[in-house]
Amino acid sequence: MIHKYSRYILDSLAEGVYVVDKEFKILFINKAAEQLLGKPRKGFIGAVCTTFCRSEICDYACPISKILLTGQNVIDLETVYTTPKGESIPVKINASLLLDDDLTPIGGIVSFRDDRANKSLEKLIKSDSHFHGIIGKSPVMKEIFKTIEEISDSDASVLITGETGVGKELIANAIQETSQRVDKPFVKINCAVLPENLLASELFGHVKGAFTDAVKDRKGRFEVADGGTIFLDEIGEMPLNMQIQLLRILQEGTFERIGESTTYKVNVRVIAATNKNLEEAIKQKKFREDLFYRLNVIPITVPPLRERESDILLLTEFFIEKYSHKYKKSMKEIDPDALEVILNYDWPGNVRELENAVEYSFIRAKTTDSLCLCCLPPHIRPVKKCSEKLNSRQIEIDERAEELLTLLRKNHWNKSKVAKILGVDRSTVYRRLKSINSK
Amino acid sequence: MLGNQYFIARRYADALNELEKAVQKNPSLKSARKKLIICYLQTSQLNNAVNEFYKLVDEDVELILNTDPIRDDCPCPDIIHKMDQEITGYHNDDEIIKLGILWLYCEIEKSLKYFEKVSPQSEYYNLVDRIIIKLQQALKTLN
Repeated sequence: MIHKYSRYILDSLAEGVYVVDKEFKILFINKAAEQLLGKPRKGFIGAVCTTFCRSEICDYACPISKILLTGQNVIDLETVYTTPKGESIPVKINASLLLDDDLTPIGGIVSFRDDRANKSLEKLIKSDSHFHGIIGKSPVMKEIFKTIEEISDSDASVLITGETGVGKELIANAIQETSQRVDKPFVKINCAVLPENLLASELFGHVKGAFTDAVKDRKGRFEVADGGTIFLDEIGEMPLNMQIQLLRILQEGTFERIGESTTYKVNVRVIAATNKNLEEAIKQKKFREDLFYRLNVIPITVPPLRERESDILLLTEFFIEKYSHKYKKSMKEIDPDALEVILNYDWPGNVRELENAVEYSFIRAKTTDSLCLCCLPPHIRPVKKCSEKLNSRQIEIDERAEELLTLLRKNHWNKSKVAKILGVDRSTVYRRLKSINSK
Repeated sequence: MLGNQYFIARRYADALNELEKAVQKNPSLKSARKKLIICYLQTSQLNNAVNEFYKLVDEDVELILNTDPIRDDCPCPDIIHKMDQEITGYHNDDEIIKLGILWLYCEIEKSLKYFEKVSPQSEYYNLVDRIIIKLQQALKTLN
């Protein structure tokens, strides 16, 4: 029934495919369908398709009958297939009719793909530890989510501070998504990437001839964002001259394009973010105090990842799900040694660094069932090696080192305090630290 | 094609409409007629069911005998089970005929047993008699 080469082609597809005749009896099942459902295809050729896929929709929304009734192919229909072991597999189905030369339906073809990874991500996204794309269940993150909800009616400026990689832009997105300006323009600009003259043109626009490359009039980001929101990332890098102009917009909502004297008025909500200590910058005369107070109407400080340990595991699991899908590796668990390293590492690059570490592990992983220590980036696992067979003496040394490092972390690397806790001299703490560093 | 799907979904009235249209267009569609018999039974059209059943038994009894309850997802075992639960004790002739028809999709001996129970008072007695002869012949061939 199916030509040899067509069979080879269909068997090479990653999607499950089965073909039925007019009586909905199976003519062909490809290899992927056989593997995804764990059902030997030979036993089902000639059987009614419901015996193969066992889906909840067979009785009331059969995709092929849907096409017969509507004339429209079925795309990405979500349903659940059942394996012989009773396991439910969420799938996405595409279906179309098989037509003969006279365009008379003579059967149907259904393709489906495993949707388990998406479903588990969706589940996590819908959970209470997920807020508009931000993952977190630590009290401090929940407090931030609460603040964002509370300010949803407000148009006041927001200043988001936090170390690099903590997810300041995600916070800005969440503020915009929950605000009344959600359907209005949302413009983002990184103040650190453009030199002063270009930044001015980017923010306020220019007219033709204003400078050498100004070959035509151009709207600035504030004009584009009129009625909506602008996100000024790395505001701490903004030159002082520009800060004056930004202050004017915040105070009066007015500006002029470069090379023009016409004053424009806009209504833009400003969300700014920085990883700099702006109060320190004010002291150093690098940031205007009046601008700071204008921006800092609603301050949101995102704590570094190391200060919210309960989020590390949650985020790791989220990224494992994400990259399982991307790299088609069903990594279901984290090796205890790897988990220990992940939970104890300082994550100076915060969530971004954690995500990169998980992705790195996926790329390096040889086995697909767990994320193991040896797959983690070398700089975060300096002490142990995954396959190392440790003797009892080595274990004791490592445990002592671990205890010391944990205490130091907990006590903000105050070695005198840790020495007191351990009942040893400060010099002993230094000596032990030196010995750890030398490994 | 839609009739076949409605039949799989146990939507007998909808399936009947579609299958009747298909059979009218092409009377040689035996597999559609085989399903139509069950649709008639499930929509209380015993007269149509018995007549169509006799015609099909006469033409190609093996088509019914070869039914695989699991692979073909045949509804007959479920319908019989339901009837057994609903009707306790005495079956009237119409019910006996219905069971005789349904059992042929599952087990010829049991089907024969039911048809042999039909009383001479039944309006279908003569037709049933002819069905019995056909089934006895088929059983002989099978043995």
